[in-house]
Amino acid sequence: MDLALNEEELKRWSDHIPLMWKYTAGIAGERFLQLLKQGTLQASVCKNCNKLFLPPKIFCKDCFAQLNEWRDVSPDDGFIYSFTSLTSGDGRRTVVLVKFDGVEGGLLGFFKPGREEPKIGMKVRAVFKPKQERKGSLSDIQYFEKI
Amino acid sequence: MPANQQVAIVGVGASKFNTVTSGLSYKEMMFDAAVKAYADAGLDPRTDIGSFICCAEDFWDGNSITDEYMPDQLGAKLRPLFTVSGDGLLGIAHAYMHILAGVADIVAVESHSKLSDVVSKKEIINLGYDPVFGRLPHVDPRYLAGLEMRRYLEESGNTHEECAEVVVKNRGNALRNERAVYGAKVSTKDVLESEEIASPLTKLEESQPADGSVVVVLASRRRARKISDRPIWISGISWFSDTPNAEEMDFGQARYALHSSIKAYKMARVTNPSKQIDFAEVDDTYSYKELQHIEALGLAKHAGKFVSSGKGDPDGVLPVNVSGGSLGMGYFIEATPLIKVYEAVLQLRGMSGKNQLPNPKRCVVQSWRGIPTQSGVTAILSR
Repeated sequence: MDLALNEEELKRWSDHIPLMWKYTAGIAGERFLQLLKQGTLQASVCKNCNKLFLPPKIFCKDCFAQLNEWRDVSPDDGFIYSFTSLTSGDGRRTVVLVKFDGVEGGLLGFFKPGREEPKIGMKVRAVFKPKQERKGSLSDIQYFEKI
Repeated sequence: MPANQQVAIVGVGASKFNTVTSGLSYKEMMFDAAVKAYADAGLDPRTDIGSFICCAEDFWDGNSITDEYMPDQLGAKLRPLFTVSGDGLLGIAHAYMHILAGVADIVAVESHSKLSDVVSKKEIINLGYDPVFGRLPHVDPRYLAGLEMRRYLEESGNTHEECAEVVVKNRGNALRNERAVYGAKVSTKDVLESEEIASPLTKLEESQPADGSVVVVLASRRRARKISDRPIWISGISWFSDTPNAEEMDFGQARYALHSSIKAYKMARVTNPSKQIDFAEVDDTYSYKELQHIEALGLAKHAGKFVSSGKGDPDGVLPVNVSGGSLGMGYFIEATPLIKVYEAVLQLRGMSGKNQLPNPKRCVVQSWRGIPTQSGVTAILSR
Protein backbone atom coordinates (compact mmCIF):
# COMPACT_ATOMS: atom_id res chain seq x y z
CA MET A 1 0.00 0.00 0.00
CA ASP A 2 1.36 3.39 -1.02
CA LEU A 3 1.40 5.65 2.03
CA ALA A 4 3.34 8.44 0.34
CA LEU A 5 0.32 10.65 -0.39
CA ASN A 6 0.39 13.95 1.43
CA GLU A 7 -2.70 15.88 2.62
CA GLU A 8 -2.98 17.94 -0.59
CA GLU A 9 -2.85 14.80 -2.73
CA LEU A 10 -5.67 13.31 -0.67
CA LYS A 11 -7.75 16.40 -1.36
CA ARG A 12 -7.15 16.61 -5.09
CA TRP A 13 -5.96 13.81 -7.32
CA SER A 14 -4.02 14.74 -10.45
CA ASP A 15 -4.48 12.87 -13.69
CA HIS A 16 -4.16 13.67 -17.37
CA ILE A 17 -5.87 12.46 -20.53
CA PRO A 18 -3.31 11.39 -23.13
CA LEU A 19 -5.43 10.96 -26.27
CA MET A 20 -4.87 11.06 -30.02
CA TRP A 21 -7.15 11.49 -32.99
CA LYS A 22 -6.80 11.34 -36.75
CA TYR A 23 -9.21 13.84 -38.23
CA THR A 24 -10.58 13.13 -41.70
CA ALA A 25 -10.46 16.31 -43.74
CA GLY A 26 -13.30 15.04 -45.98
CA ILE A 27 -13.97 15.41 -49.70
CA ALA A 28 -13.91 19.19 -49.73
CA GLY A 29 -11.21 19.54 -47.08
CA GLU A 30 -8.82 17.09 -48.72
CA ARG A 31 -9.21 18.75 -52.10
CA PHE A 32 -8.67 22.17 -50.55
CA LEU A 33 -5.52 21.05 -48.74
CA GLN A 34 -4.11 19.35 -51.87
CA LEU A 35 -4.58 22.58 -53.82
CA LEU A 36 -3.12 24.62 -50.99
CA LYS A 37 0.03 22.53 -51.30
CA GLN A 38 0.18 23.64 -54.93
CA GLY A 39 -0.22 27.27 -53.95
CA THR A 40 -3.79 27.74 -55.13
CA LEU A 41 -7.15 28.39 -53.47
CA GLN A 42 -10.48 26.96 -54.52
CA ALA A 43 -13.95 27.64 -53.15
CA SER A 44 -17.01 25.43 -53.58
CA VAL A 45 -19.89 26.95 -55.51
CA CYS A 46 -23.60 26.95 -54.67
CA LYS A 47 -25.43 27.70 -57.91
CA ASN A 48 -28.79 28.08 -56.13
CA CYS A 49 -27.55 30.80 -53.80
CA ASN A 50 -24.90 32.14 -56.14
CA LYS A 51 -22.38 31.83 -53.33
CA LEU A 52 -18.79 30.64 -52.98
CA PHE A 53 -17.58 28.99 -49.77
CA LEU A 54 -14.05 29.11 -48.39
CA PRO A 55 -12.82 26.79 -46.94
CA PRO A 56 -14.97 24.74 -49.31
CA LYS A 57 -17.79 22.45 -48.20
CA ILE A 58 -19.85 19.92 -50.13
CA PHE A 59 -23.07 21.34 -48.69
CA CYS A 60 -24.65 24.79 -48.68
CA LYS A 61 -25.62 26.01 -45.23
CA ASP A 62 -28.24 28.32 -46.71
CA CYS A 63 -30.21 26.13 -49.15
CA PHE A 64 -28.87 22.69 -48.09
CA ALA A 65 -27.89 21.76 -51.65
CA GLN A 66 -25.03 19.37 -52.35
CA LEU A 67 -22.12 21.21 -53.92
CA ASN A 68 -19.81 19.69 -56.52
CA GLU A 69 -18.52 22.68 -58.44
CA TRP A 70 -15.31 24.52 -57.63
CA ARG A 71 -13.93 27.88 -58.56
CA ASP A 72 -10.47 29.41 -58.22
CA VAL A 73 -10.04 32.25 -55.77
CA SER A 74 -7.02 34.45 -56.34
CA PRO A 75 -4.64 34.47 -53.34
CA ASP A 76 -3.95 38.11 -54.27
CA ASP A 77 -7.52 39.34 -53.81
CA GLY A 78 -7.88 39.22 -50.04
CA PHE A 79 -8.79 41.91 -47.53
CA ILE A 80 -8.56 41.96 -43.75
CA TYR A 81 -11.97 41.38 -42.14
CA SER A 82 -10.48 41.54 -38.64
CA PHE A 83 -7.19 41.10 -36.79
CA THR A 84 -5.88 40.59 -33.28
CA SER A 85 -2.43 40.53 -31.73
CA LEU A 86 -1.42 38.03 -29.08
CA THR A 87 1.71 37.27 -27.14
CA SER A 88 2.68 33.65 -26.62
CA GLY A 89 5.82 31.60 -26.17
CA ASP A 90 6.72 32.39 -29.79
CA GLY A 91 6.52 36.13 -29.20
CA ARG A 92 3.91 38.59 -30.42
CA ARG A 93 1.91 37.57 -33.47
CA THR A 94 -1.02 39.04 -35.35
CA VAL A 95 -3.82 36.71 -36.40
CA VAL A 96 -5.93 37.87 -39.34
CA LEU A 97 -9.21 36.70 -40.76
CA VAL A 98 -8.90 37.37 -44.47
CA LYS A 99 -11.93 37.47 -46.75
CA PHE A 100 -12.20 37.64 -50.53
CA ASP A 101 -14.69 39.68 -52.52
CA GLY A 102 -17.78 37.68 -53.40
CA VAL A 103 -16.74 34.72 -51.23
CA GLU A 104 -18.52 33.52 -48.08
CA GLY A 105 -16.03 32.62 -45.36
CA GLY A 106 -12.31 33.27 -45.62
CA LEU A 107 -9.00 32.13 -44.22
CA LEU A 108 -7.41 32.40 -40.79
CA GLY A 109 -3.70 33.07 -40.76
CA PHE A 110 -0.95 35.42 -39.67
CA PHE A 111 -0.08 38.93 -40.78
CA LYS A 112 3.45 39.48 -42.06
CA PRO A 113 5.65 40.50 -39.11
CA GLY A 114 7.26 43.88 -39.51
CA ARG A 115 6.58 47.57 -39.40
CA GLU A 116 3.34 47.52 -41.39
CA GLU A 117 0.27 47.80 -39.12
CA PRO A 118 -2.78 45.82 -40.21
CA LYS A 119 -6.11 47.60 -40.72
CA ILE A 120 -9.64 46.36 -41.28
CA GLY A 121 -10.28 46.47 -45.03
CA MET A 122 -6.58 46.45 -45.97
CA LYS A 123 -5.96 44.62 -49.28
CA VAL A 124 -3.68 41.64 -48.72
CA ARG A 125 -2.23 38.68 -50.58
CA ALA A 126 -1.49 35.17 -49.33
CA VAL A 127 2.23 34.39 -49.40
CA PHE A 128 2.88 30.65 -49.60
CA LYS A 129 5.86 28.88 -48.11
CA PRO A 130 8.43 27.52 -50.59
CA LYS A 131 6.99 24.47 -52.36
CA GLN A 132 9.25 21.94 -50.63
CA GLU A 133 8.15 23.16 -47.18
CA ARG A 134 4.40 22.85 -47.82
CA LYS A 135 2.57 20.06 -46.05
CA GLY A 136 -1.03 20.44 -47.19
CA SER A 137 -2.22 22.45 -44.21
CA LEU A 138 -3.33 26.02 -43.56
CA SER A 139 0.20 26.77 -42.38
CA ASP A 140 1.33 26.41 -46.02
CA ILE A 141 0.34 30.06 -46.20
CA GLN A 142 3.31 31.65 -44.46
CA TYR A 143 1.50 34.92 -43.91
CA PHE A 144 -0.70 37.56 -45.50
CA GLU A 145 0.99 40.76 -46.60
CA LYS A 146 -0.22 44.19 -47.65
CA ILE A 147 -0.48 44.71 -51.38
CA MET B 1 -51.53 41.43 -21.50
CA PRO B 2 -51.07 38.59 -18.97
CA ALA B 3 -47.86 36.61 -19.18
CA ASN B 4 -47.67 33.20 -20.81
CA GLN B 5 -48.19 30.98 -17.73
CA GLN B 6 -47.69 27.37 -18.73
CA VAL B 7 -44.45 26.49 -16.95
CA ALA B 8 -43.03 28.09 -13.80
CA ILE B 9 -39.90 27.99 -11.70
CA VAL B 10 -41.01 26.84 -8.24
CA GLY B 11 -37.66 26.27 -6.56
CA VAL B 12 -34.03 27.35 -6.82
CA GLY B 13 -30.89 26.36 -4.95
CA ALA B 14 -27.20 27.03 -5.32
CA SER B 15 -23.98 25.91 -3.75
CA LYS B 16 -21.69 28.64 -2.50
CA PHE B 17 -20.07 30.38 -5.47
CA ASN B 18 -16.34 30.67 -5.11
CA THR B 19 -13.06 30.95 -7.00
CA VAL B 20 -11.90 27.68 -5.45
CA THR B 21 -14.12 25.16 -3.68
CA SER B 22 -11.63 23.37 -1.50
CA GLY B 23 -12.52 19.92 -0.26
CA LEU B 24 -15.88 19.53 -2.04
CA SER B 25 -16.22 17.39 -5.16
CA TYR B 26 -18.51 18.59 -7.94
CA LYS B 27 -20.98 15.90 -6.90
CA GLU B 28 -21.07 17.29 -3.37
CA MET B 29 -21.61 20.80 -4.75
CA MET B 30 -24.51 19.45 -6.82
CA PHE B 31 -25.97 17.74 -3.74
CA ASP B 32 -25.74 21.02 -1.80
CA ALA B 33 -27.57 22.95 -4.56
CA ALA B 34 -30.18 20.20 -4.98
CA VAL B 35 -31.01 19.97 -1.25
CA LYS B 36 -31.56 23.75 -1.17
CA ALA B 37 -33.67 23.80 -4.37
CA TYR B 38 -35.93 20.95 -3.23
CA ALA B 39 -36.36 22.58 0.20
CA ASP B 40 -37.22 25.87 -1.57
CA ALA B 41 -39.87 24.07 -3.64
CA GLY B 42 -41.02 21.91 -0.72
CA LEU B 43 -40.60 18.72 -2.77
CA ASP B 44 -39.04 15.29 -2.31
CA PRO B 45 -36.99 14.37 -5.40
CA ARG B 46 -37.46 10.65 -4.79
CA THR B 47 -41.22 10.87 -5.20
CA ASP B 48 -42.25 14.26 -6.57
CA ILE B 49 -39.91 15.03 -9.49
CA GLY B 50 -40.70 13.31 -12.77
CA SER B 51 -37.67 14.26 -14.84
CA PHE B 52 -34.10 15.42 -14.19
CA ILE B 53 -31.93 17.31 -16.67
CA CYS B 54 -28.21 18.05 -16.28
CA CYS B 55 -26.17 20.38 -18.45
CA ALA B 56 -22.55 19.27 -18.43
CA GLU B 57 -19.59 18.59 -20.72
CA ASP B 58 -17.21 15.65 -20.55
CA PHE B 59 -14.07 17.73 -21.01
CA TRP B 60 -14.95 20.21 -18.25
CA ASP B 61 -15.69 17.40 -15.80
CA GLY B 62 -12.58 15.50 -16.91
CA ASN B 63 -14.55 12.32 -17.46
CA SER B 64 -15.99 10.62 -20.50
CA ILE B 65 -19.68 9.62 -20.09
CA THR B 66 -19.86 12.28 -17.38
CA ASP B 67 -23.67 12.13 -17.76
CA GLU B 68 -23.62 8.70 -16.10
CA TYR B 69 -22.31 10.30 -12.91
CA MET B 70 -25.24 12.67 -12.46
CA PRO B 71 -28.14 10.73 -10.84
CA ASP B 72 -27.29 9.93 -7.20
CA GLN B 73 -26.47 13.41 -5.88
CA LEU B 74 -29.67 14.82 -7.43
CA GLY B 75 -32.00 12.21 -5.95
CA ALA B 76 -32.44 10.83 -9.47
CA LYS B 77 -31.35 7.19 -9.15
CA LEU B 78 -33.74 5.00 -11.17
CA ARG B 79 -35.63 8.08 -12.32
CA PRO B 80 -35.80 9.62 -15.81
CA LEU B 81 -32.59 11.66 -16.25
CA PHE B 82 -30.60 12.87 -19.20
CA THR B 83 -27.71 15.21 -19.74
CA VAL B 84 -27.70 18.04 -22.23
CA SER B 85 -24.39 18.87 -23.83
CA GLY B 86 -25.21 22.55 -23.71
CA ASP B 87 -25.65 25.47 -21.35
CA GLY B 88 -28.02 25.56 -18.38
CA LEU B 89 -30.60 27.67 -20.15
CA LEU B 90 -30.91 24.99 -22.80
CA GLY B 91 -31.73 22.66 -19.89
CA ILE B 92 -34.55 25.02 -18.90
CA ALA B 93 -35.81 24.84 -22.50
CA HIS B 94 -35.81 21.04 -22.29
CA ALA B 95 -37.69 21.15 -18.97
CA TYR B 96 -40.26 23.45 -20.58
CA MET B 97 -40.77 20.92 -23.37
CA HIS B 98 -40.95 17.94 -20.99
CA ILE B 99 -43.73 19.65 -19.08
CA LEU B 100 -45.73 20.77 -22.12
CA ALA B 101 -45.31 17.33 -23.73
CA GLY B 102 -46.69 15.67 -20.61
CA VAL B 103 -43.47 13.74 -19.92
CA ALA B 104 -43.44 15.10 -16.36
CA ASP B 105 -45.30 17.67 -14.27
CA ILE B 106 -42.21 18.62 -12.28
CA VAL B 107 -38.65 18.77 -13.65
CA ALA B 108 -35.30 19.60 -12.04
CA VAL B 109 -32.48 21.21 -14.07
CA GLU B 110 -28.88 21.25 -12.86
CA SER B 111 -25.61 22.68 -14.13
CA HIS B 112 -22.25 23.13 -12.45
CA SER B 113 -18.72 24.40 -12.77
CA LYS B 114 -15.68 23.10 -10.96
CA LEU B 115 -13.27 25.13 -13.05
CA SER B 116 -10.80 25.25 -10.15
CA ASP B 117 -10.18 21.55 -10.88
CA VAL B 118 -9.48 22.13 -14.57
CA VAL B 119 -5.77 22.62 -15.15
CA SER B 120 -5.93 22.70 -18.97
CA LYS B 121 -8.61 25.35 -19.55
CA LYS B 122 -7.05 26.87 -22.68
CA GLU B 123 -6.38 23.45 -24.16
CA ILE B 124 -10.06 22.49 -23.77
CA ILE B 125 -11.17 25.72 -25.44
CA ASN B 126 -8.71 25.02 -28.25
CA LEU B 127 -10.21 21.55 -28.76
CA GLY B 128 -13.53 23.28 -29.44
CA TYR B 129 -12.20 24.62 -32.73
CA ASP B 130 -12.48 22.86 -36.06
CA PRO B 131 -9.46 20.51 -36.04
CA VAL B 132 -8.45 21.19 -39.64
CA PHE B 133 -9.12 24.92 -40.04
CA GLY B 134 -9.56 26.51 -36.61
CA ARG B 135 -6.77 25.28 -34.34
CA LEU B 136 -3.94 27.70 -34.94
CA PRO B 137 -0.61 26.28 -33.73
CA HIS B 138 0.83 27.95 -30.62
CA VAL B 139 -1.88 30.63 -30.52
CA ASP B 140 -4.03 31.39 -27.48
CA PRO B 141 -7.51 30.12 -28.44
CA ARG B 142 -9.03 33.42 -27.34
CA TYR B 143 -7.80 34.88 -30.63
CA LEU B 144 -11.38 34.55 -31.89
CA ALA B 145 -12.64 36.90 -29.15
CA GLY B 146 -10.05 39.47 -30.22
CA LEU B 147 -11.07 39.14 -33.88
CA GLU B 148 -14.75 39.41 -33.06
CA MET B 149 -14.34 42.33 -30.68
CA ARG B 150 -12.34 44.42 -33.15
CA ARG B 151 -14.77 43.83 -36.00
CA TYR B 152 -17.83 44.36 -33.76
CA LEU B 153 -16.52 47.72 -32.52
CA GLU B 154 -15.73 48.78 -36.08
CA GLU B 155 -19.22 47.93 -37.35
CA SER B 156 -21.26 49.06 -34.35
CA GLY B 157 -19.45 52.31 -33.68
CA ASN B 158 -19.15 51.38 -29.99
CA THR B 159 -15.77 52.14 -28.43
CA HIS B 160 -13.24 50.29 -26.35
CA GLU B 161 -13.86 52.78 -23.53
CA GLU B 162 -17.55 51.81 -23.59
CA CYS B 163 -16.54 48.14 -23.28
CA ALA B 164 -14.48 49.13 -20.25
CA GLU B 165 -17.59 50.83 -18.80
CA VAL B 166 -19.31 47.43 -18.86
CA VAL B 167 -16.56 46.03 -16.62
CA VAL B 168 -16.75 49.01 -14.26
CA LYS B 169 -20.54 48.59 -13.97
CA ASN B 170 -20.65 44.81 -13.55
CA ARG B 171 -17.81 44.50 -11.06
CA GLY B 172 -19.32 47.43 -9.17
CA ASN B 173 -22.73 45.71 -9.15
CA ALA B 174 -21.07 42.58 -7.78
CA LEU B 175 -19.95 44.57 -4.72
CA ARG B 176 -23.64 44.81 -3.73
CA ASN B 177 -24.29 41.12 -4.38
CA GLU B 178 -23.23 38.96 -1.44
CA ARG B 179 -23.14 35.87 -3.70
CA ALA B 180 -20.63 37.40 -6.14
CA VAL B 181 -16.90 36.80 -5.75
CA TYR B 182 -15.40 39.24 -8.25
CA GLY B 183 -16.85 42.50 -6.92
CA ALA B 184 -14.37 45.37 -7.26
CA LYS B 185 -14.11 49.07 -7.80
CA VAL B 186 -12.20 49.45 -11.04
CA SER B 187 -11.82 52.39 -13.42
CA THR B 188 -11.97 52.38 -17.19
CA LYS B 189 -8.25 53.23 -17.10
CA ASP B 190 -7.56 50.08 -15.02
CA VAL B 191 -9.49 48.02 -17.57
CA LEU B 192 -7.89 49.50 -20.68
CA GLU B 193 -4.38 49.31 -19.22
CA SER B 194 -4.65 45.76 -17.92
CA GLU B 195 -2.67 43.02 -19.63
CA GLU B 196 -3.62 42.35 -23.26
CA ILE B 197 -5.16 38.95 -23.99
CA ALA B 198 -5.95 39.27 -27.69
CA SER B 199 -5.97 42.90 -28.78
CA PRO B 200 -8.09 44.86 -28.23
CA LEU B 201 -9.39 42.55 -25.45
CA THR B 202 -7.67 42.97 -22.07
CA LYS B 203 -7.46 40.78 -18.98
CA LEU B 204 -10.06 42.77 -16.99
CA GLU B 205 -12.51 42.46 -19.88
CA GLU B 206 -12.62 38.69 -19.52
CA SER B 207 -14.80 37.01 -16.88
CA GLN B 208 -12.73 34.85 -14.54
CA PRO B 209 -13.39 31.23 -13.56
CA ALA B 210 -15.61 30.33 -10.63
CA ASP B 211 -17.05 27.19 -9.04
CA GLY B 212 -20.72 26.58 -8.32
CA SER B 213 -23.76 24.43 -8.92
CA VAL B 214 -27.35 25.58 -9.43
CA VAL B 215 -30.54 23.52 -9.38
CA VAL B 216 -33.82 24.94 -10.72
CA VAL B 217 -37.17 23.17 -10.21
CA LEU B 218 -39.94 23.78 -12.75
CA ALA B 219 -43.59 22.76 -12.69
CA SER B 220 -46.66 22.78 -14.89
CA ARG B 221 -49.18 25.59 -14.39
CA ARG B 222 -51.53 23.31 -12.45
CA ARG B 223 -48.85 22.03 -10.09
CA ALA B 224 -47.02 25.36 -9.80
CA ARG B 225 -50.08 27.10 -8.39
CA LYS B 226 -50.37 24.41 -5.67
CA ILE B 227 -46.66 24.19 -4.86
CA SER B 228 -45.69 27.84 -4.85
CA ASP B 229 -47.20 31.14 -3.79
CA ARG B 230 -44.60 32.98 -5.88
CA PRO B 231 -44.10 31.08 -9.14
CA ILE B 232 -41.79 32.67 -11.72
CA TRP B 233 -43.13 31.93 -15.19
CA ILE B 234 -41.05 31.00 -18.21
CA SER B 235 -43.06 33.28 -20.49
CA GLY B 236 -40.90 32.69 -23.53
CA ILE B 237 -37.83 30.67 -24.46
CA SER B 238 -35.96 30.01 -27.69
CA TRP B 239 -32.53 28.85 -28.85
CA PHE B 240 -30.56 29.24 -32.07
CA SER B 241 -27.26 27.98 -33.45
CA ASP B 242 -25.39 29.96 -36.08
CA THR B 243 -22.53 28.56 -38.19
CA PRO B 244 -19.65 27.05 -36.18
CA ASN B 245 -17.12 28.05 -38.85
CA ALA B 246 -15.09 31.00 -37.62
CA GLU B 247 -14.48 32.15 -41.20
CA GLU B 248 -18.21 32.50 -41.88
CA MET B 249 -19.36 34.10 -38.63
CA ASP B 250 -20.93 37.54 -38.55
CA PHE B 251 -18.87 39.41 -35.95
CA GLY B 252 -20.98 42.55 -36.39
CA GLN B 253 -23.99 41.17 -34.57
CA ALA B 254 -24.97 38.23 -32.35
CA ARG B 255 -27.44 36.58 -34.73
CA TYR B 256 -28.14 33.68 -32.33
CA ALA B 257 -29.31 36.21 -29.72
CA LEU B 258 -31.24 38.28 -32.26
CA HIS B 259 -33.24 35.34 -33.58
CA SER B 260 -33.79 33.56 -30.26
CA SER B 261 -34.98 36.80 -28.66
CA ILE B 262 -37.45 37.54 -31.47
CA LYS B 263 -39.03 34.14 -30.90
CA ALA B 264 -38.92 34.31 -27.09
CA TYR B 265 -40.44 37.82 -27.07
CA LYS B 266 -43.23 36.61 -29.34
CA MET B 267 -44.04 33.73 -26.98
CA ALA B 268 -44.00 36.15 -24.05
CA ARG B 269 -46.07 38.74 -25.95
CA VAL B 270 -43.33 41.32 -25.55
CA THR B 271 -43.62 43.79 -28.42
CA ASN B 272 -41.29 46.53 -27.19
CA PRO B 273 -38.48 45.00 -25.11
CA SER B 274 -36.78 48.26 -24.19
CA LYS B 275 -40.03 49.39 -22.52
CA GLN B 276 -41.53 46.10 -21.33
CA ILE B 277 -38.47 44.41 -19.83
CA ASP B 278 -37.66 45.56 -16.29
CA PHE B 279 -34.12 44.17 -16.12
CA ALA B 280 -31.78 41.93 -18.12
CA GLU B 281 -29.21 39.28 -17.26
CA VAL B 282 -27.28 38.93 -20.51
CA ASP B 283 -24.12 37.09 -21.39
CA ASP B 284 -21.02 39.13 -20.53
CA THR B 285 -18.31 36.50 -20.85
CA TYR B 286 -16.27 39.34 -22.37
CA SER B 287 -16.99 43.07 -22.01
CA TYR B 288 -17.95 43.58 -25.67
CA LYS B 289 -20.34 40.62 -25.62
CA GLU B 290 -22.63 42.49 -23.21
CA LEU B 291 -22.86 45.39 -25.68
CA GLN B 292 -23.39 43.04 -28.62
CA HIS B 293 -26.11 41.16 -26.72
CA ILE B 294 -27.90 44.31 -25.50
CA GLU B 295 -28.24 45.34 -29.15
CA ALA B 296 -29.26 41.87 -30.40
CA LEU B 297 -31.95 41.65 -27.69
CA GLY B 298 -33.39 45.00 -28.78
CA LEU B 299 -32.77 46.61 -25.38
CA ALA B 300 -30.88 49.55 -26.90
CA LYS B 301 -29.79 50.59 -30.36
CA HIS B 302 -26.36 51.86 -29.33
CA ALA B 303 -25.36 49.73 -26.37
CA GLY B 304 -22.12 51.61 -25.74
CA LYS B 305 -23.92 54.90 -25.17
CA PHE B 306 -26.66 53.06 -23.23
CA VAL B 307 -24.11 51.68 -20.75
CA SER B 308 -21.83 54.73 -20.53
CA SER B 309 -24.80 57.03 -19.87
CA GLY B 310 -25.89 54.86 -16.92
CA LYS B 311 -29.09 53.54 -18.47
CA GLY B 312 -28.02 49.98 -17.66
CA ASP B 313 -27.10 50.79 -14.04
CA PRO B 314 -29.19 49.41 -11.16
CA ASP B 315 -30.97 52.79 -10.97
CA GLY B 316 -31.08 53.22 -14.77
CA VAL B 317 -34.04 52.72 -17.10
CA LEU B 318 -33.16 49.08 -17.80
CA PRO B 319 -30.62 47.54 -15.42
CA VAL B 320 -28.34 45.05 -17.15
CA ASN B 321 -26.47 42.44 -15.10
CA VAL B 322 -27.42 43.94 -11.76
CA SER B 323 -26.15 40.63 -10.30
CA GLY B 324 -22.66 41.56 -11.43
CA GLY B 325 -22.91 39.28 -14.46
CA SER B 326 -20.07 36.95 -15.30
CA LEU B 327 -17.55 39.77 -15.02
CA GLY B 328 -18.64 40.29 -11.40
CA MET B 329 -19.82 36.81 -10.35
CA GLY B 330 -17.43 34.70 -12.39
CA TYR B 331 -17.57 32.41 -15.37
CA PHE B 332 -19.22 29.05 -14.64
CA ILE B 333 -18.94 27.34 -18.07
CA GLU B 334 -22.28 25.60 -18.82
CA ALA B 335 -23.75 26.75 -15.49
CA THR B 336 -23.19 30.43 -16.35
CA PRO B 337 -26.77 31.14 -17.53
CA LEU B 338 -28.28 29.05 -14.74
CA ILE B 339 -26.55 31.37 -12.25
CA LYS B 340 -28.21 34.24 -14.13
CA VAL B 341 -31.59 32.46 -13.86
CA TYR B 342 -31.00 31.99 -10.12
CA GLU B 343 -30.23 35.69 -9.69
CA ALA B 344 -33.24 36.70 -11.82
CA VAL B 345 -35.59 34.52 -9.75
CA LEU B 346 -34.34 36.11 -6.52
CA GLN B 347 -34.91 39.57 -8.07
CA LEU B 348 -38.44 38.73 -9.25
CA ARG B 349 -39.26 37.30 -5.81
CA GLY B 350 -37.87 40.43 -4.14
CA MET B 351 -35.26 38.37 -2.26
CA SER B 352 -32.06 39.53 -3.89
CA GLY B 353 -30.67 41.42 -0.89
CA LYS B 354 -28.61 44.60 -1.15
CA ASN B 355 -28.85 44.67 -4.95
CA GLN B 356 -32.66 44.21 -5.02
CA LEU B 357 -34.42 46.29 -7.69
CA PRO B 358 -37.73 47.98 -6.84
CA ASN B 359 -40.59 45.68 -7.80
CA PRO B 360 -39.40 44.09 -11.08
CA LYS B 361 -42.00 42.02 -12.94
CA ARG B 362 -40.36 40.80 -16.11
CA CYS B 363 -36.79 40.13 -17.25
CA VAL B 364 -34.79 38.61 -20.05
CA VAL B 365 -32.01 36.06 -19.41
CA GLN B 366 -29.71 35.25 -22.31
CA SER B 367 -26.81 32.87 -22.85
CA TRP B 368 -23.92 32.42 -25.24
CA ARG B 369 -21.91 29.22 -25.30
CA GLY B 370 -18.54 30.93 -25.53
CA ILE B 371 -15.78 30.75 -28.14
CA PRO B 372 -15.69 29.27 -30.69
CA THR B 373 -19.50 29.05 -30.85
CA GLN B 374 -22.27 31.28 -32.15
CA SER B 375 -25.15 29.69 -30.29
CA GLY B 376 -27.29 30.69 -27.36
CA VAL B 377 -30.65 30.79 -25.62
CA THR B 378 -32.99 33.63 -24.69
CA ALA B 379 -35.66 33.29 -21.99
CA ILE B 380 -38.26 35.70 -20.64
CA LEU B 381 -39.07 35.28 -16.94
CA SER B 382 -42.02 36.98 -15.28
CA ARG B 383 -44.06 36.88 -12.12
